[in-house]
Amino acid sequence: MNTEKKILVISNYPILEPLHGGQKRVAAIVKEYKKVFSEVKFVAIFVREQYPIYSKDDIYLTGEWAEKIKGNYLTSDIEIGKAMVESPDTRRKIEKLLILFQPDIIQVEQVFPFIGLKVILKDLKIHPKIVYSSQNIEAPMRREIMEISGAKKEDVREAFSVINDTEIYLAKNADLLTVVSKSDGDCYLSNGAKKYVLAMNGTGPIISNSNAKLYWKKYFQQRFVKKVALFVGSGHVPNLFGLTNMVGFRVGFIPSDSKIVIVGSVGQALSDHFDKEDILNSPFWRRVTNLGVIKREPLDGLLEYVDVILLPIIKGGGSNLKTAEAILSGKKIVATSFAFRGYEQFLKLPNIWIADTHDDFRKAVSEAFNTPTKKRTAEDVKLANNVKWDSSLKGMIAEVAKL
Amino acid sequence: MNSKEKKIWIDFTDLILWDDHFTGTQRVTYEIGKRFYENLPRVSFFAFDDKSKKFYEVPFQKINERILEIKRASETESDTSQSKPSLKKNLKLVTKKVYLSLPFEVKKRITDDQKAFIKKTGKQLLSVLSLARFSSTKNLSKLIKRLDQIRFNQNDVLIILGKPWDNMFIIKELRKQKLETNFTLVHLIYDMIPVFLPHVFGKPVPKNYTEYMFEAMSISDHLVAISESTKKDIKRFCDEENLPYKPTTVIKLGDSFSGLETDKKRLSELSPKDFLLCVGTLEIRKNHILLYTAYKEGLSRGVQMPKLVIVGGKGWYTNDVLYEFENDPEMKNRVFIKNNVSDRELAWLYKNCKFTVYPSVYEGWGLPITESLAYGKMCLASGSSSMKEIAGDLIEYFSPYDSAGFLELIIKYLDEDILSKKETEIKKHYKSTNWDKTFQDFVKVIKY
Repeated sequence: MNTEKKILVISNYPILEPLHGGQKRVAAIVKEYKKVFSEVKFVAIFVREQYPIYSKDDIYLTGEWAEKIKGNYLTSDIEIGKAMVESPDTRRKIEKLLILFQPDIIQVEQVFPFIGLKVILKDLKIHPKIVYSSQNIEAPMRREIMEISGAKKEDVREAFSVINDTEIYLAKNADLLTVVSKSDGDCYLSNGAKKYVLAMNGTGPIISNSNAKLYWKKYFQQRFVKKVALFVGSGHVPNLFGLTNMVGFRVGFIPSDSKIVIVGSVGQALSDHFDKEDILNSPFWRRVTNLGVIKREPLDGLLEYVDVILLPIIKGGGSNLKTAEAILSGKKIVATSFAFRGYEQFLKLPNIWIADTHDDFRKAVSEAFNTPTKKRTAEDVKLANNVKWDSSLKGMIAEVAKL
Repeated sequence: MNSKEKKIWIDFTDLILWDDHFTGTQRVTYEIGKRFYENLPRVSFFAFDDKSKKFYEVPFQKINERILEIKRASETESDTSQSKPSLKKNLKLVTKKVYLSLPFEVKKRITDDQKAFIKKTGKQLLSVLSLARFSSTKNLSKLIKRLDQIRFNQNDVLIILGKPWDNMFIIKELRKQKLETNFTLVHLIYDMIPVFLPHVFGKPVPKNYTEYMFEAMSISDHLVAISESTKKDIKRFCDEENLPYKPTTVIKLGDSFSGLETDKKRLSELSPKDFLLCVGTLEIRKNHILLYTAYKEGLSRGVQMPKLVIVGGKGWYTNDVLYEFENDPEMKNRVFIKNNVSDRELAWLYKNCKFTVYPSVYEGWGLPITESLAYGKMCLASGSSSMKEIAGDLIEYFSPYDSAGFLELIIKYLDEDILSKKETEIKKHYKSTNWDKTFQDFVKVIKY
């Protein structure tokens, strides 16, 4: 499959050095498109304070818009969408890009870039095919996060309305709708979409790093920890709730030779969101270690070293890239069924425990610690490989190429 | 000796480091440890050295001589730590001297805020100095030279009888060795009070205690509780922390200590039968405030309240109630706070008091109740936690939060006839537990 079409992918974060799930997904999409389309361009419309690493094609907001958005993590993506039209400097750069590149297809990653793009395309009177690449059903999730974070009611209402309207518009009017899970797709169908293509979140190959693995082996041996369960998560509220609801603060069920290791900003968020006394007065940290944010290489080594991967996800939209990584790793997995939405086909693989209540989850963690890892059959390995990006995005790429 | 043979190791860390008055925990460790040594083969003792983080074998004879010396001193002398000027006193004296030496003009300019700051800084300095002193005395290698370092084997049974909870290193090291060799660990638990009543202790205690117990219960194979109440609290802790609940046996501790000679020399202000006795550290948990309130109410009602003798060192958060006891004109010549009595003086106090009172909010057992009964004395005790287990219906109880109920009981037993009838009943029915029985129960636990 090869096509002469030119495709432009727009998102509101750069992908030069992808860290979070969204960045990884877009980077993978761009990489896969480059194998198929003759010209692929990616541009991020973003604020530098939030993403200091970017490429020369990316467009960062300047002046008062940059100032306005800088510290606003709750609605900065909506503001970026508005700035695409209202910030003259930004609008000029986007218009120049569209005129010079003349894309046949524009893929908007999540709804936010389309808030501005819709106006610009109309004003420029150009009509490329639009691919709406959804990562989740954003509007209700954003409303919940803003409410939990104590945002003003009118701000919550406005954010919900802008996102919801754009999501529905795109579901109905985009030339192609791609979703990460069947449940998201069905939701869009009920909101007026005619069809959708499933483009499951995937993962890159796990790069074996024997030095990093050895480092972790020594690290845990020195601490007399024989078994490790890993939870990787950003400070995103659903991650935090998943961890505290499914694992909880009372961690005596973890044997004294074992630990839960938290990687990512979720550990910091734990201290920020909860009454410190709750954690300090319980022996939580005697069985849980917070490693904070660590780089890709040591994380790969850690993924290789650990015994169990925890996916205690109970909220949030879309699907979880961590699930894809866990599936590919072949490690024992303890997860909620929510964490496996979009990945249901992989549940038949061995070494997976699904638990949806706090009690079941901790029982499953104990059981996973005490159960030897079953070796995967050739068939299992083949199935697990479907979670790699080249497989997971195949259907979407074929449909986009037909546009 | 075949290293695969079962060997019993008893932790004597508490004893080897102890150079103060011989009190409850040390007595328990010694009485049980001694019987293991005298009655069973292959029994050894160990101590943990903080500095090297290693375990050392402690020859029983060597420690026994020292313990007997301390025990003898406890029986006849007052608390040695009280006779030395304390760190706090020294610090206060220095501060006072510096203040007095300042010219009047300077003194005048020191504001209340500045005074408060000096006081706060002094407290911080005191805590740092206390910690430094504590750490240096905890250095075992300085005390005992040429001990053999030990590693435990798979067939070994380790028994912890003391309270090593203020030293997380010992449990960390035990955990490490247990993971390697999987010896059997039996841990005596006195109480879980700092976990469930954190407000009656100083800040670091509940957190350290909880963490210690969390690890201790994780790695122990068998727990021994000193009361049903403590056993219940262990179960509660395990349930709340999602810890596996280990087999737990309740063993009554020995309480046969009524045979001591008495000494009254330093108690001249007291006469037989003219005082009530309350034994226990002056700390918030022991609830002396209830005693103060009941006494005040009694006096306001015109009750002829007897003298009150409070025996105990100063513990957590009692400055306010102590101030009231010491400065209330109505309490002057009526309340005597004794914080440095010897065992023989205590024996005199028990033998000659009218009856004892024990308003403690919560206990793991309630040793002063047992002591009182061993001396044939009535005790009015708080009915919470373990205290009803000691004597059942033989004594009377009140709520630790009900000063009126407490006062009614005091008034009731000021009646000589009622008191004497009760004392006869106690002498007839109360059975002390001897240390041999405690030892035998322990042997059953370790299935020797």
